[in-house]
Amino acid sequence: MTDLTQLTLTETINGLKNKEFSSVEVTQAYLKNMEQKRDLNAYITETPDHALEMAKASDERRAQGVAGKLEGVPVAIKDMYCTKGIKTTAASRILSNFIPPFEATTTERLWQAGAVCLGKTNTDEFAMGSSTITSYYGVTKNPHDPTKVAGGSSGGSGCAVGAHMCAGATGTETGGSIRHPASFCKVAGFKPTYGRCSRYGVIAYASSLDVPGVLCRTAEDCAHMIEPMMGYDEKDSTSSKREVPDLVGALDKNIKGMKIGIPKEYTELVPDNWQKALDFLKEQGAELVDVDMPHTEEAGMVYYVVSQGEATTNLARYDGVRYGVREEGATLDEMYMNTRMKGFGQEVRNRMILGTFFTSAKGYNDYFVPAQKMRSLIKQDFDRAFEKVDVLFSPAVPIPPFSIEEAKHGAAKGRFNDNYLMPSCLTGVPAGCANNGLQVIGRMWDDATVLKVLDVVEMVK
Amino acid sequence: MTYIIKGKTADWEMICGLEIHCEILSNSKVFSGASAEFGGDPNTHVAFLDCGMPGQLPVLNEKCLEQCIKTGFGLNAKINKHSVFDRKNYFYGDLPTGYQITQLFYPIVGEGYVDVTDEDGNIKRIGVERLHLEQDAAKSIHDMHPTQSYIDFNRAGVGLMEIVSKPDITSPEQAGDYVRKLRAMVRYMGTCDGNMDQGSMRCDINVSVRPVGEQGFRHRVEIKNVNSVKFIMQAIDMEAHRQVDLYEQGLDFPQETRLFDAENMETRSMRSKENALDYRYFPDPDLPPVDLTDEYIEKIRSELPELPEAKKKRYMESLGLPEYDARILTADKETAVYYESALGNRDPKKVANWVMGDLFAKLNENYVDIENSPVTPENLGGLIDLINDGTISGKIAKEVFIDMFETGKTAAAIVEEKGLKQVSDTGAIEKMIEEVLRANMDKVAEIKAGKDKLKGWFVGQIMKASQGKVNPALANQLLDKKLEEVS
Repeated sequence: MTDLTQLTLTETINGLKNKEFSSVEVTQAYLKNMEQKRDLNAYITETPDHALEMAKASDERRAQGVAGKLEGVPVAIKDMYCTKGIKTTAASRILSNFIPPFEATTTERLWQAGAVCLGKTNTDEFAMGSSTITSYYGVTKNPHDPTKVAGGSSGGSGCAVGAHMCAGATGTETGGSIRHPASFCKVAGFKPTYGRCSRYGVIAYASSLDVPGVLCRTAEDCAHMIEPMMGYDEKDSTSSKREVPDLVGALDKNIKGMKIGIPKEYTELVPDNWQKALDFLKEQGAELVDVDMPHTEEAGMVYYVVSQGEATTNLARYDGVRYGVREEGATLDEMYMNTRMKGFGQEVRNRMILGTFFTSAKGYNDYFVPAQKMRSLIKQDFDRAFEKVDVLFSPAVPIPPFSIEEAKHGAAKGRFNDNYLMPSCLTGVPAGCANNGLQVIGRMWDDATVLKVLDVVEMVK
Repeated sequence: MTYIIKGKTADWEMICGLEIHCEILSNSKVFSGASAEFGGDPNTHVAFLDCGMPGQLPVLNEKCLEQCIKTGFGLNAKINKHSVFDRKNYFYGDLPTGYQITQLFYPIVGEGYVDVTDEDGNIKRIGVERLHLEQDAAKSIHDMHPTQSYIDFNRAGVGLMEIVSKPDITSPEQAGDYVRKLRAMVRYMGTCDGNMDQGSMRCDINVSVRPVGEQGFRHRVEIKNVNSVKFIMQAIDMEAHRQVDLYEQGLDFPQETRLFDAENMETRSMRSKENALDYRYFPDPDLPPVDLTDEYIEKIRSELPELPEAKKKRYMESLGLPEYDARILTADKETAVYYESALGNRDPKKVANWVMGDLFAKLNENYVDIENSPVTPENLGGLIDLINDGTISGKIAKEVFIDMFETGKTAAAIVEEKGLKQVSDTGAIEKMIEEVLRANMDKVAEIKAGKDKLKGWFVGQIMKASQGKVNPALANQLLDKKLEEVS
């Protein structure tokens, strides 16, 4: 029997459809891998019994002639998504005993599409970071080199996909958290337009930035997995009513005549395959256009002010009163302090203190409001660029994965770690990273074009 | 007399503003689908959002927004087409998400007014600053356990309208009337049940004083959660005097929050636990701004019920009722509803008299609210009809009414059962009259001689003889006839 974990998500869908193997068989293959590669620490919670139950039910449905778009496909879920009855921790001690009594809309749709749940993957605590070094459950190792980090915050998902411990995985992106681990783990990652995927049930970090997305082996895989997750959800007031586009159908590998913008601010440092990539795109018939994104440098600061300001209030609910871990105290305030000091890691506490400052009466006027204003200038950079071009193209993360040691000393805060990612997080545009580390950013709502170009881009080795 | 506190060093006037929180009448809470109904076993009306679970998002209940707009019309206020929700951040056990969703910068309703009757009986206009929509907090219970507090989240997330007055109130009477008028209005609108003892309408008072003629405002003190009109008026009076006393002694006091202690008749400083210094307001990123069209606002205006002032005017102009009657009958919605139901095509004044007289008396005597009256408006109408068509006399009707109140039966049923039908059989009455006349020929002679007053005595005798069942008008008529016949 071939190793079913070698198949891409797309191949798995087709193999199951053609009854070449059963969902139980492919699920068992992944569960075995998960066991063998446990030392990579990709998963916080493995759900083998649940997975096999779901796989069995899927096979039974298929026997009845019923099959959803992801029928029988085993996937992993980033531990920022609330999964009903399955422990959901946000990689934090404060939620280490939390079992949600409800399901996130996006994962509910995956199950309705027939997917199988393998478990919950590791992340930086409350998605704050780009290496998983801040996780309460330890760092996730890079699937290609265990001395390096898997990136973050969706590092667990990146590693699970890269080490063939699942066919695909969900991630979330706030400041680059899907594209970053995708780049480090050499897998594909896709973040749709803000508002395409419901945030209901996704543990909030920064409400105006959080986007549920996916990490898979290829762009085509991403298209298959993200489509059922998209669509209006009345439980999320920021959810878009726009119709879900046909993403898989858009992958015709034809980019002839497409105008591809190269932001000079995103090419200060480039990886080895950069020139080859540019040549390849030209060969494919695209026109390369230089564009300026003059407010790129400011994006980092804007991101920190806005995300931390929003995060502070979003994390205020974790107080030990109604659920989660509680550390007792003689008074209410003491209980709050004990619970949150012991429940949150250092990085989270740092960001919340800063966030509190940025939204304080004085800080709001001095930092938060100017940051939001700068944010609209950054958006204007994109609007202007998209008048001239259809998509933007650049490396996602121009540096190779750093070591775990370096991560402990703050490597995740390095300039080139996410400066090509952050601007597109602030404006809600769709973006993705191909499994060769090259990223594509598109216009608002033009998710199909981004995936189309990624599908072509990934042909560059 | 205008409200002035006479001190040794000066005459002092009082300035007061009221912040009133009204729980919105709606099926579900303002941002979650849980029931907004009062009561229920603890923690049974709680959606995941209301207990602040992760990943939960607010979704605006449009009904609550409509209720705010209706109330805004009742305040003669500007409806803001653009409004925004903000987060007010602080930590307390009754706040499940660590922030309250409210509207600071752009409230749904802008400036308006309420006309009140002041201590001199004059109409005074009290300005309203704004009305905004926000969430209510959970209920903390501190006395169930020696060292722990219990929290009931049923109330968490119920919609609240916060109505902020301008500091135009200058006497306890004005404050009392403001609250009464506001309460009647929201009950009329059906936007809040105005129930102050259940806490569905809560009042925070801001009081300061200054010497008459001084410009500018001195330190003000906030008195929280006073739950009756009587207490509101007392608390204001007490606090104003307390402040004047301090100033007269040359002392000052801090701007602070106090609690009203009804038992000891004093205001006490609150511990500072809830006095967060900085609420870090900022727009809630989970909720889009509310943008309303003119059509939407007009539609709500067109569906408003008739308000007390308009109703009173109509009662006076179309029904011809005197101002006093109109005022009493429109003072609250339930009375007006009852009155209009009993009115039908009947004489407005007659119905008014029965409602304000016999009905109110019986209701008060038995501590029953008009909406629970054992005499339904239809039945009262029926009773009045029986008087009109001569079936019973007005006097008998009063007795029948008492029976109706005690048994809930219709007038017709009681008259039937007790055989109270007026005797209108001319023949029978004439016979009775002849008997009485024959027995009292001396008095007949006196009447003939000019003592007309004795006729009344005869009617009385006839009534006695018939156990009051004779139709008195008819008795009078026939008596005259009979007296004619007697020579």
